[in-house]
Amino acid sequence: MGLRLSRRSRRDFGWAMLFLLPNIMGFAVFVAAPVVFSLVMAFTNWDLAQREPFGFVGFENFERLFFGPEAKDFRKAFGTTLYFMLGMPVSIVGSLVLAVLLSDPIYLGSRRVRRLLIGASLAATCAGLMVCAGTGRATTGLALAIIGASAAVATVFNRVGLRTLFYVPFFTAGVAQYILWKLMFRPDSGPINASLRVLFAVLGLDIEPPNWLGSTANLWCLDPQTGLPAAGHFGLGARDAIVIMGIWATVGGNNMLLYLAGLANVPQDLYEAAMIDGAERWKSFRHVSWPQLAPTTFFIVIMSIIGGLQGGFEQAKIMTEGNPAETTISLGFYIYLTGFADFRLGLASAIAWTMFVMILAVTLVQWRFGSRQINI
Amino acid sequence: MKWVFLGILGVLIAWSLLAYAMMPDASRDGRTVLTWVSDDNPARRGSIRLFEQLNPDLRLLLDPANTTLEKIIVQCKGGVGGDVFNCYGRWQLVDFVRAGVLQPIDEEAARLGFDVAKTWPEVLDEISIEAFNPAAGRYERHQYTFPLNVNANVMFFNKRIFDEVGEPYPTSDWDWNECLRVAKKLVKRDRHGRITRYGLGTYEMHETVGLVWQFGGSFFDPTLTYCTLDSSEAIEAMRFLHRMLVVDEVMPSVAERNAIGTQGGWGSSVIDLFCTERIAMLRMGRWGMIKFRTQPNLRGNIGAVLLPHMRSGADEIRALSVGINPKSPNKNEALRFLQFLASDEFSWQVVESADALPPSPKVGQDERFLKDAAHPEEDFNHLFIEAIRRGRSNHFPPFIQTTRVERIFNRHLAVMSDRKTTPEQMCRALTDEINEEMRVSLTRYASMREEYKRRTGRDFDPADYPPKGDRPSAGRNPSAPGSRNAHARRTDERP
Repeated sequence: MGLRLSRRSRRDFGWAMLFLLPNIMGFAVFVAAPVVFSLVMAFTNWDLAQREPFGFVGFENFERLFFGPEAKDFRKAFGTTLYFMLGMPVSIVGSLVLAVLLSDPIYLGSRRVRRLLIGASLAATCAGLMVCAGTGRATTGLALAIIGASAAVATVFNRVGLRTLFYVPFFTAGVAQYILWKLMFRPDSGPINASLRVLFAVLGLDIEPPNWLGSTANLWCLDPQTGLPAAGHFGLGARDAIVIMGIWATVGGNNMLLYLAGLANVPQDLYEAAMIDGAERWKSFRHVSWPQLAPTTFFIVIMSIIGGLQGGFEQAKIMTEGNPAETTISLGFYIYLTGFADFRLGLASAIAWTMFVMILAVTLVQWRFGSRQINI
Repeated sequence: MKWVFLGILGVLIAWSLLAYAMMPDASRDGRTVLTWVSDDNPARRGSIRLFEQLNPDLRLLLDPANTTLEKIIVQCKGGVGGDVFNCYGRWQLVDFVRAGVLQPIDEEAARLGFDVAKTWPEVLDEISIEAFNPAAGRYERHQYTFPLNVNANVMFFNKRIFDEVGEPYPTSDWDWNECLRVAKKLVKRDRHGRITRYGLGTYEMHETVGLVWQFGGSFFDPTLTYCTLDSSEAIEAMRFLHRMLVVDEVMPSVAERNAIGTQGGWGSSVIDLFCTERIAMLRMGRWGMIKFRTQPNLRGNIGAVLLPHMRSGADEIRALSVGINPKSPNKNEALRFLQFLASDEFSWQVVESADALPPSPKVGQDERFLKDAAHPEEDFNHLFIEAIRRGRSNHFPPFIQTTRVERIFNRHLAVMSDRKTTPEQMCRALTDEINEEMRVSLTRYASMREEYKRRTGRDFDPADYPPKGDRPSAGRNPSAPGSRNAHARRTDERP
């Protein structure tokens, strides 16, 4: 039996469709059609370099990825993508810690102490700017000014100011961040290695800091040629530099906001009951907050995996161009190289759809288990 | 509520129409607009000014954001490419022609006076390609571009640094051993032993091509059907590179160069390192002078000699040329731009701006260029002419993307620079990988097998690839420049 709509409802539906039409058209032309087109492309040998006549090749592109000549490069790119996701647990734990710390107002002392802190922060900001303008030591001056200004914001606006400060990397333009981090990782004059040299000198260690973006060394001892573990490759290199930058960029981002929202939704009477039972702060977190945050954590983990599978392109393109020795080519970057450097658009589409299937699998897990009440 | 939404929709449509009406019209003054996809080299502005002076009915717009190979191919294929675009050497020319985004211009070039005879004969292969015509059953040459400039490399050096270390300036008869000895003296370290100044600039694939030639080897066999980087001469060249990079540390690796160099913009990275005296000697073409001339610390301190030789003095020469997008709606105007590039006025403008060598050999060999009165300290212009005579353009096989060869080479070079492999291991692994990729392509594509047969005179046999019988041996590399077979047929037709 068909749904019968009143005349007025039909008219309203027509108006609604009229208003939705521009968006639907945009979606159809710029999203849906290219997606369908790329699915068709995945089963063709479309090659911009015209090495062979265009034609449908069935599942050949997928076969090549898993068993053919491209299998090694695909496996390496997938391994690099997984490597970039190494920072995910650290980032999630960091977001949780930040959310817990910033969920309640931070006590900074009496009003007089706070005034003193604000004065000192502003003085540090002014001093930094004066150093910058007066002595020409721009890096030192700016660093001092930024620290001073951040401290002033934190003191005046308390947790709201701090939340905003931690969220800044998340909405800062990626390219600017990557160029900045590239400078920070410079082995000779970057601030990271400069700090490490001071630290090593203080500790009396005769160690040279890592070569970061110029090194193929990594924590999993992966051979840059094969992508498999081998002796002699242990250390910190380009992949680790990108992981560290990723942690910095995401620790105060949306995950922190989700945890803050999750903490705000924990019923206060649970904390009160725990307090009556004699639970101190850690036990209260362990037995009340953490179980209540389980669905949020699950959602964050799933979303981070999805983001991780898709990520790595911009960082590698801007900071390393996939180097050294192609060790920073993630799946996203591999799609780009296959499509626009090797001109095999059919194969590139097949990689993209393989990546889609992986993401879909993760999403299905979230769909299946995400709505469950998980209380430990 | 719907009237509110409808009102908002109406306002948005009205704004969109207004914005469209107010959109700056590139051809508002009635001139036809020609888009030139090119890097933002400062010399381009002078070229544009001169072109517009000589062609008052045309307006030339520079598009510096879309100069990479992949962007040009994708945009031209999609019908939104520029009217004319730069081609940075034969390796790009071959890829552009294969992708069908370059218009053949033989007839027009002959009619309008910018055919291959109007430029240096040494760069013939940089602007034209010999391709097999199945109908005629023979190879035919077609012109696709005309040079914007011609580049041959010399070794620039900083006289002040040589004076500082008490080393006499090098002369053009030096060899690589002498170069290495000098470079070692020029290296400077801080009190912690860290290098603050390198003797030589970085070598990547295109620089290494020349190095391998100079040691008597080559990347590929004369028929361009298999990689020969495992020949004894090539291994010797790579051993020498390894010595410079890893053992004596006289040059920064690619990763080190990227880490200490600047980011982005025209002429960044290695040129900046030379300008800031962190590199004492640099292999580069005359175009480097555009930046060197602007550096107060380099004024009067730049010297140049020919590149060091070993068994040969050959190096890669290139033409930066301009071609026409077949889908351009302004083909006639685009042809006028190429005609302009062949004019003496433009060649003199190249001379003045120091943007490498002019396309016209007549201007390039004119005494007014060789003894430039405006820049008397640049007393080395004759060296570029000598370098052109010694060099040749670089050819890659049609069985593998050049960009793919470059990626494989640079990966192996990075691993060797990172002290993870020896030069011998690198050469063998690199050769195997490139040959394997070509074997896969030859097995897959029938058209490539036909081309293979035309080149070698025999059928492709995967079991005997690369062929074991006729590999070049030590001291007898048939494709080494200057050897008897150096000018064997080299074609890069669309397979």
